[in-house]
Amino acid sequence: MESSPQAAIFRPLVLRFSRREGGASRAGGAGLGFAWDELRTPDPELIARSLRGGAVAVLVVDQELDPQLTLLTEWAALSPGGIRILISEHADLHLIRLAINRGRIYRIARSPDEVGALVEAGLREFHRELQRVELVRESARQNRELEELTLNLESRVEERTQNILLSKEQEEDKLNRIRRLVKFIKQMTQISSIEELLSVIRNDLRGFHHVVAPILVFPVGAEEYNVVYFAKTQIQLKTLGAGFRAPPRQLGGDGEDDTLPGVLANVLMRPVAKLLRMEIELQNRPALLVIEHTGNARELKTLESHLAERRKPFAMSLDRLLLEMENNFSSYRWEKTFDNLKSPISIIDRQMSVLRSNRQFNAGAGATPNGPHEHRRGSCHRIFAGREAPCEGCPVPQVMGTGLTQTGVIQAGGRAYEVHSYPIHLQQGGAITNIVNIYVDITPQRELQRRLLQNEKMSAIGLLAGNIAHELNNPLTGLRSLAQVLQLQVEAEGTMAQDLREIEKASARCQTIIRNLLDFTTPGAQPSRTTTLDAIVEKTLPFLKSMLRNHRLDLRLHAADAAIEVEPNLIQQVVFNLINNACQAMKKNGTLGLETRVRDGEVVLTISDTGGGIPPEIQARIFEPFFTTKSEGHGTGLGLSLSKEIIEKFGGRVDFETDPGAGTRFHVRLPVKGVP
Amino acid sequence: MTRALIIDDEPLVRRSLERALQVSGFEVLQAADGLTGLQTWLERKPDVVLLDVLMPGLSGPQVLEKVPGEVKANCKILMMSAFTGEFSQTKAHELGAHLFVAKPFDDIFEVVKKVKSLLGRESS
Repeated sequence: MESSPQAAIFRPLVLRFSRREGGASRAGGAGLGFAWDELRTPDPELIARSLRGGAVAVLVVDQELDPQLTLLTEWAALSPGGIRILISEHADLHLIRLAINRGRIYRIARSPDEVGALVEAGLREFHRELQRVELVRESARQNRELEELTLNLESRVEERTQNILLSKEQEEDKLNRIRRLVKFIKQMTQISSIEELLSVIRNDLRGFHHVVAPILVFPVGAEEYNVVYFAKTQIQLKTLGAGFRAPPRQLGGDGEDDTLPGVLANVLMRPVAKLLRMEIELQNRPALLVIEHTGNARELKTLESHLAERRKPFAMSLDRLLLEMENNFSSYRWEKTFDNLKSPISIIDRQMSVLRSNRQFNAGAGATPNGPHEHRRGSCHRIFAGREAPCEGCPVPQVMGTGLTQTGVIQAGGRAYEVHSYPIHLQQGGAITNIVNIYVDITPQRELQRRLLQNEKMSAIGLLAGNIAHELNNPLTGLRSLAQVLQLQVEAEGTMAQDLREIEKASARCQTIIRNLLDFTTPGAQPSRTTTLDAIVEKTLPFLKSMLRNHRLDLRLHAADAAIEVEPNLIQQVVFNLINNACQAMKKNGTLGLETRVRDGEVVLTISDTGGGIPPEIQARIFEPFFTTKSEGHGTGLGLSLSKEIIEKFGGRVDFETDPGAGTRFHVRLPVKGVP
Repeated sequence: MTRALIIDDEPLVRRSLERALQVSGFEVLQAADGLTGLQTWLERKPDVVLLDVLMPGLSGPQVLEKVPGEVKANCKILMMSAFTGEFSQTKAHELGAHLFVAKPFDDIFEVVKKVKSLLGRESS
């Protein structure tokens, strides 16, 4: 402690207030290890001044000069740590007590001689005390320093911790934000519908408690916009009508003329809260993401920056969705068109496996598609014709061989199809990859052709028959006439006359047949004339003998008086036709009914059969030209349509009643001549 | 005896008419085609001609065209045809025939009767 700076500077002063020494002063203290000064004076004033000046370590007071110990007491109060020595030869107990209690003296010297040693001891004591105080002070200072240091350190540590915590939180926040964004982007890439898109947006905004709901306005087609929104938990879609022609760009801004809240309120059918809108640039026209919210400006800012980060992925996803929708729509449209085509179509590969086909194809040849489109796998011949091997006449092998479009005719499902095969080269100049087959049902054309041919054949036969009839007529006339002449020359009752009569009758019968045949086959040979339906029926019957061989004839003619104005041969043709149909409709042992009657100014011929009746599905078609149920060579399909035409030409009509399983009744109605 | 000429390409018709007319007291001439008929007509001057319309060579109407008016004036002409549609009574008259009979005949003696009434006599 001696080496402390304070100790070194501080030179203790010893004041001796005594009469004897007078104002002598001395310095000393080598023996004590430190320097000190001593002032001896009987002047109380000097003593008092010196005491006030400080640095007094020891005060020696002679009782004689300060009998009441006033100086000692005062200094004790002033400097309790000072060393006070009292010189008193006759100190009584009271004084000693006073000196100790009041003056806090260190020692009492009985004589001045003792003072030197006492001062030295006092100085030592003072020095020790000084050192102690210094030590205490130093340690206190050091303590304080340490305390400060600790405090400082603590605050720093705290600060650091705070900082670390703060940055950690920030980092985590940032990380979370990025994580959410990544999740959002990932979701955006996997979205497959607008509804899903809106759901993802809503979930993404779940943290923003002031967000009510997202609403998406997106362009559809060339002009329209759709709105997708949440109605409670359901997602609804509405098309904005003519009132929303303007693109969202012009709806931006919250100005007075902002129509968006009104438009959305109409769509949502409820008042809308505040709207935050974000324009989404798309390839076509911009869409608008509207966030309905109740937030304040600060919250809005967070929301905006949150949305801003999502704008791009959102836009890309929406763009993709809209494109997909458009694609799907056009592919749907294409498929619909494809399916609605009447002709079967298939796209096959080189192995004749069907890659794509329409409903008509899938239904198979000759069938009508029912039910929705379904893809069928397998070879074209298997699906379409039900064959294990390629169809005969199929042009596909030729297409593969030549690389050119080919056409062939195949038979499938009882119908004839013209197959047009078109090669597809997916690579320019490459091998054929696929073949498109279009099947055109040419059965009706073929049938028509065949029937026309048949018809021609028939009229040729008619012409031939006419000529033959003519040729036969002449010799028959001669034969009959000769028989008549010969009869005159033989005995009237003889066998010869009878034979000649038979010959004449037979010739006459032949002539009748020929005449009728001529009437029947000579087109337009007869002008309209007055006759009766009964006469026409009777004239027709001889032709039907072979037809009626297997059936019973129920003939009831009651219209012999009803005159009609017609071309008899044409009406005969109709009657013949209807009777022929009736006979063909019946199996063996049927009954053919022929009845005429007059009713309401009309003469009605009813031709009835006991056949199978006309199936309901073809009833509407039986009067169509070329419609037939008969096999090839048994009918031209022209009978009923021609019959109808002929009867209508003479102001009549043809109708029918049919009971499937019980028979059919055709009614030919012609106006009676002279009846208005 | 009244002379009748039958011009018809069908032998049986000729034959039956010939027989019926002969039975009724006619002298009967025959021709199997138009040209022969025309020659016979001009040479033998028949009182009545039974003329078929459709024949090979000269047809009935062509024969009529070639017969001079004065020859026709002294003769009754009866045309016969199976083609009633194309050739009618009116047409026959236009060509100068007096009567038209459709073939085939139901009764050959009806034809003979018609020939007789044409000549203005019931029987010969």
